[in-house]
Amino acid sequence: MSRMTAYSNDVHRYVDGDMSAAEGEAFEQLMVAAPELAAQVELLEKQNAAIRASVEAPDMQLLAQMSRAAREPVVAGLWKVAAVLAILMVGFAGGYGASALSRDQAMTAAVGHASAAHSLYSVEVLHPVEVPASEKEHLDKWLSKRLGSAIQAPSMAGSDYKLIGGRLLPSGQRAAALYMYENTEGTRISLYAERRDGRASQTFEYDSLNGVSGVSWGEGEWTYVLVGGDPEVIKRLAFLVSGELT
Amino acid sequence: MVGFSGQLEAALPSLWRYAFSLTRDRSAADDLVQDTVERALRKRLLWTFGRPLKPWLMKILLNLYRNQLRSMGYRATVPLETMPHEQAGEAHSTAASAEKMLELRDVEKQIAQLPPERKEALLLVVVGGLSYKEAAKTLDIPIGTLMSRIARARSDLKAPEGATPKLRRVK
Repeated sequence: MSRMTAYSNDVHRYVDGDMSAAEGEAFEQLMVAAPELAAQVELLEKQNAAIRASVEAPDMQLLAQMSRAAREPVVAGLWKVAAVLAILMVGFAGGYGASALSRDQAMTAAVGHASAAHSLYSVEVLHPVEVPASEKEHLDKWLSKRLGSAIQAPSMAGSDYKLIGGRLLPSGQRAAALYMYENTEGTRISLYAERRDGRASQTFEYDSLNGVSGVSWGEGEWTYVLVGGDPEVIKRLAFLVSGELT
Repeated sequence: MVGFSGQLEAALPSLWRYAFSLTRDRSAADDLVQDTVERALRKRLLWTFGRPLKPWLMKILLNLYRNQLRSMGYRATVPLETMPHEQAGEAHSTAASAEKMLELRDVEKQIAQLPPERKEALLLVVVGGLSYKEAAKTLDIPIGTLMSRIARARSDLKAPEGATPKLRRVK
């Protein structure tokens, strides 16, 4: 088998950027020793450039219009369906995957509630929260009273997320709080807080259910769950938030 | 990773370029992207939060494009000269036609003559900017199949201009 045949796939993967940095480097070294591979790569790169050059540029104004339209509220009724589905999914999943088995039930329940509430309310265009961030003082007072212990909405200062507001949630016979945050991209994440009996584990636990990521942890008499958005971002923000809550 | 709207906005230029490369028509590309956005919004609930949106959008666009072709009564045909490459797993030597490649003046015309499957695959990666994994998912084919379609498309493109159908490998 010639080198050309042996590395045929690699040539395509290299020019299409489908190699990891290490693979790419190794292939570049190989090309030094194998000029026929280098020639082939050059050829395909020229071909790619010619193809791309043959494609005209879009009217960016038109695209901007389309993406603005995409941000407009979508048929409200659909979200109700989504909400029901979200609750059902949490129910069927029976908690939060295999790791839930080794965790205490209160924490598992909190993660389920948080994820269901986030799925339900984060898509809400008009009423994502009951009390908006503009009335933060009232929000903190009200939720502290209803939850039976002082709690303040973390600001998430140091991240690009801003508080939208909060709402009261049922959690069994008790009350829980849900704070919602949004970044400039319109991505929303929620912080769920619930009082608990006894001390919660302070370990940060990461979970993902139906594509919704969540990080849960305990702090004093509270159980917290941060849900939504990108897993890496959520993990980073959880540390930021826990610093604010301590 | 950003949310639905953010990802949608970021994907629009690639979607448009892909649509244009398939149709070679600005207003057809505008319409395809517009229809893709509308459909994506209607189906937004089916999109799982946190999942990359671009491959999904590309798939919607590709389906719309294929439906259009069908309703126009277009029938996908495979040009004769591509037949010799059909053997599975065949490696494609490309260096031999290096000179021919440099004569690639009418890349547009050559792309138009590619079999639809190869054209869609090659353009999805080169113009649409998808990774092999994403492109394979978009087209609902294994990565190996995707790579062989891309390799074949590339060797088709390097056929000398004005080549007439050859049946040279028929024995």
